[in-house]
Amino acid sequence: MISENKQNRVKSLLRIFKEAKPIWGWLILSCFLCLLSIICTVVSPKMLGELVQQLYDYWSGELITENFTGIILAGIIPLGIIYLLLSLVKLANMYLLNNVVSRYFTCNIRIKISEKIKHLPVKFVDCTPVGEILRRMTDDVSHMGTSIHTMIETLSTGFLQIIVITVMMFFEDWRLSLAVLVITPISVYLSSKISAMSEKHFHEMFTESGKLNSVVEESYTNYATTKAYNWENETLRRHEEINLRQRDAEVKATFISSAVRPCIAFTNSLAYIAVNLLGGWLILNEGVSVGTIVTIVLFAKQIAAPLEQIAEGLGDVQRAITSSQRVFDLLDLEEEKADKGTFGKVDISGNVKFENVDFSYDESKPLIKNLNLDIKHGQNVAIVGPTGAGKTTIVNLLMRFYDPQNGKISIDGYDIAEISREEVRNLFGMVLQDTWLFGGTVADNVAYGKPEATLDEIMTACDEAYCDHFIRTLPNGYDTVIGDDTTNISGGQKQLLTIARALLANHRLLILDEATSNVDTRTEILIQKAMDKLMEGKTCFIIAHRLSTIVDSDLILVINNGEIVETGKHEELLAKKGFYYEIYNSQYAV
Amino acid sequence: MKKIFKNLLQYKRRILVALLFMTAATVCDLMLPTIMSNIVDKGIYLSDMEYIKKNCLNMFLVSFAGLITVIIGRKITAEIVAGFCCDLRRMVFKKVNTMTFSEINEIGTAALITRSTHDTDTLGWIASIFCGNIITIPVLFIGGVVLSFSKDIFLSLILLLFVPIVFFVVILIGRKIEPLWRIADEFIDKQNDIMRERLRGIRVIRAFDKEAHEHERISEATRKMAMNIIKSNVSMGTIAPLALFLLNFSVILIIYIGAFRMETGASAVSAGDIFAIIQYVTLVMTSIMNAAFVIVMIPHAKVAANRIGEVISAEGYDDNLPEESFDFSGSVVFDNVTFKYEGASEAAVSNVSFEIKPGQKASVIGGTGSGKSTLVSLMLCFRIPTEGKVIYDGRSTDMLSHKTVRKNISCVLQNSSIYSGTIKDNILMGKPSATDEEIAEAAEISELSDFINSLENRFDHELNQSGKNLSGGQKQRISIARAVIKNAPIYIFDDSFSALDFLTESRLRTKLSKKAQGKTQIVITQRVTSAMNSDIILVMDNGKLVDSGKHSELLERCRIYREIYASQTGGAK
Repeated sequence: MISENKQNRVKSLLRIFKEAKPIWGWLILSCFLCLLSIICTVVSPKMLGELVQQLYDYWSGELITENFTGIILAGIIPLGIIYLLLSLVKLANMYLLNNVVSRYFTCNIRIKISEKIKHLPVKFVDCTPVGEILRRMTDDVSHMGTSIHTMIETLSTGFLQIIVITVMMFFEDWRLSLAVLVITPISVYLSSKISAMSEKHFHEMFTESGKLNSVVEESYTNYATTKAYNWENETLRRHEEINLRQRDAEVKATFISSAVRPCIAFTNSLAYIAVNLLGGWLILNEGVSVGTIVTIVLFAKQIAAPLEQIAEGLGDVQRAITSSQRVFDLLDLEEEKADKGTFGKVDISGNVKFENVDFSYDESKPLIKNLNLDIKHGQNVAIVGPTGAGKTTIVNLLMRFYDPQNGKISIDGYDIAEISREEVRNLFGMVLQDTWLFGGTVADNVAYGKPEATLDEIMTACDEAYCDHFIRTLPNGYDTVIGDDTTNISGGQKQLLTIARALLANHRLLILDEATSNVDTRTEILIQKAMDKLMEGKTCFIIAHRLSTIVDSDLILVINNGEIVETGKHEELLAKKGFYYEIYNSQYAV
Repeated sequence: MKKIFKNLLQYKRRILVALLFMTAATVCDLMLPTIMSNIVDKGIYLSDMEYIKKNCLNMFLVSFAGLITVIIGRKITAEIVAGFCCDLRRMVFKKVNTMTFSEINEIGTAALITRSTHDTDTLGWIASIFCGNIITIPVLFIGGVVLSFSKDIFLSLILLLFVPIVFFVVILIGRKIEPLWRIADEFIDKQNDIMRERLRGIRVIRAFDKEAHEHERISEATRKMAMNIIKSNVSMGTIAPLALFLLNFSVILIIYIGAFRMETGASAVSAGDIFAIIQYVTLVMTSIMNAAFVIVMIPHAKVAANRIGEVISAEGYDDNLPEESFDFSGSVVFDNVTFKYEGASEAAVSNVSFEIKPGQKASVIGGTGSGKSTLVSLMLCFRIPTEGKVIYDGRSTDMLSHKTVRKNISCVLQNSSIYSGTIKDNILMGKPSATDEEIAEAAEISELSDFINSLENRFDHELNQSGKNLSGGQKQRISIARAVIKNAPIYIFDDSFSALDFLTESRLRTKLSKKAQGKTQIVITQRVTSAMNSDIILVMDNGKLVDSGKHSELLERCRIYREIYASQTGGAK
């Protein structure tokens, strides 16, 4: 599990910038473009104001000229150019930021996460819900990307805009500017307060909606049981309860958030009224021009927008910081200890030795205590015992998915802790109960451990694993695309494919963890030959529920509560009348 | 589609009130620019302070009225939309809960889930956009146009010229974005799938030393994803600057032509009028852009509505026979039952006849696809026989309410169903009135005691959705406890011990037999050892009942049974 490390928020923000180092140049360029667009947005109302002033002057007869349209045209052409420039600059900046951020920032962080997972211990993946990791990789990184947009587009330009507009306004008339500057921040404060209020209800609405979705998913997937227990009404009641709560939250959330704009509009009206009242007085008493008033009215309208943006942008950045902390926590996780790899590539025959091995997943609950085993090459070792006794743990240790706390495991005398993990794993072939296939063709899946295999080799392996026939019945034969959640092949067939995969890879040691549990028993007889071939001359570790499959093993380890309670051959163990005897007979005692 | 919108009818009075308020609010919005231009025109310009004061007061009143009416209007709209969504969700969910199993199979569980969640949400979302705009768009548009016409007809024509341009530009880009979004979403899903796959298969991947390969796959998917996200974001981003330019351009044009007409004396347009028209342009353009967005949404809404419509128009079934309170004795008879799934060319079970007497232990054995689970579906009235009859105590199931039948069966189905809630809640489903002692007893019989004792909150331990925090064996045992506490006259276990080791299964079944004394037990299994001690074993193969009898009899005369037996026990006796 990833701990929610409360890193310093400022530090996280700085780190986002550091992560963005490859795109700094682009970001500076983008800031420059923003500056350009600010200049345009600030200059244009001024020019528009002057034009309107001229219209007034001409209309009232103060301006007398032969060529009025000529004068207007002279003012309009630069204004048109500014407008065009504004749109172009905005377009360019949008294009630039999108490309740069998605291509070089978020994409890189995601690849970094993927790279990181390569080096994390299996334990991490075992203990962390998949959704948790995926959420960091998609949503959280997205938030970080958005924050770059926000910081450049709204925060920096917003602040700049406000400063420039303020200065320009004061330049026009300081008294009117003051009226605007007093009223607009009130509207921003109000809108951010209202937004925060609605945020709470939105959150509630999403939570309820999530719960409702679970109820739906649950009752549809459990449809048969719900019916069998006449539980429909209870399900409907549960659904309705959450449904109503979601409705109430939705009403509040949408209503409150929809009130933001009218409130801003209202305070803007107030600002307008104030400017006009004051303006009227100034015109009468101080002789301020109409153009000045018009310009300030336009500025007053413009200043509200960046203020709103900043209020919104700050929220975005807050969320991005929280997200980035979660991403950084993942990137900072402790990696698997580096391999000593003293021995390099080893050539082995398959003698496996456990010496005084202690292991536990959770330090407070010791699982394997002082385990000693000596297995000669070519032997078949069966591991039996009740569920949760620690059978799979032995596989985890053998393949170095986990390392023992004490003791030593060696293969042909080489301590596996000193062979690189890749090399250790290379020694083993395995077929697991939990079959795993990746999205790709059947042939790709079978050739997973031996990518250079020819189609002939693949087909031979499949033939031996008794799956050639069913593969040919698939729509595209060996080229049929399958995946982990594929439904066009059964659990048993998936297992046959993994057996073919192990056959093809042909390793010196073999692990079969409930390898045929999903195959029906009659097919199992048929593939027994393939299994025998697979096991030929190899040291095998076999975990099985069905004791019939292991009676011929060279050595049976009976595990209970993490300890080996009995060892020996089938007959010897039966003769002992101990735990194995009890398990064996329980199959017939039902 | 019609059915969906019928739901809105019950809100008709409130819709009317909302329309009224929203119209009032929009009218207020429309009045503002005129007042504003009047203040400048007649007040400031003519230096009439009284006029300014009077109109500022007017402006304040109109703004305030606008604020109040819009807030009330929005409140009612929010209630209507949320109510509509709530009704829709209820309607779909209720409908699915009365669907027959074949209807459910036809649409598929995953699709049904999407329709009840994602599609209803989409429709609700679109409904809210619709309701938010349905009044403001036409009123703003018509009002803006009429008012600007009242100022100057010719200049207003320029405005009308730009309306279709903006409209089509937005619609054109909007249409293009739609598929781009979908594609980008697909790539995001793809990248997620590969990552999920990698995390799930970490052992196999590391065993084959394929981490580098998987990392490469993810990197590639991530890059592709980035490119597609860029595409959709960029085309989305073009709308705003483009629309802004068109808007600004029309402003310039209006000023220029206004000036020209002023000079030539073609109209008595005042400077204030031109200023007002510029403000109306903004209003009208905004309403046009919103309208275009709403229109872009319509195909989206249609898709969702059609998919939901498919669910709502399903026939469902009528279990209109009254539920009866009598208890079954436990006899189960199949009289020449044949069942064929709709669309299948061959029957899943054909001509099956057998009799299980009250209190007997029966087993059904056979390979995958032999028709075992279909028998369970028929017994529980999930499916209705195509031919023949399923008979309880001499009464065929078509004469019995499904509820009566199900009330008399304690069943554990193949995929153990776990509901979110506590362990106790899950067990109590079998008998809501059960006492704590009864719950503890059921847990003890189901071999759950050790597990429950290891939990901090014991029976109050919260289970995740579908029991994701449980192992397969734990799920099975909780499902068994649910059946045990119900203790109905007939027990059915459909492959319910498969995740338990033999020792646990044997202990469990010994205790179960004691509790369920006198009750009929039917065990569907692949394991011969689970079946061999039954009073009657039914051997199924390819949808046919091949033979039935006791273990020793079958071992002697039934080839298939012998094969199964030999394969699982290595021939030991």
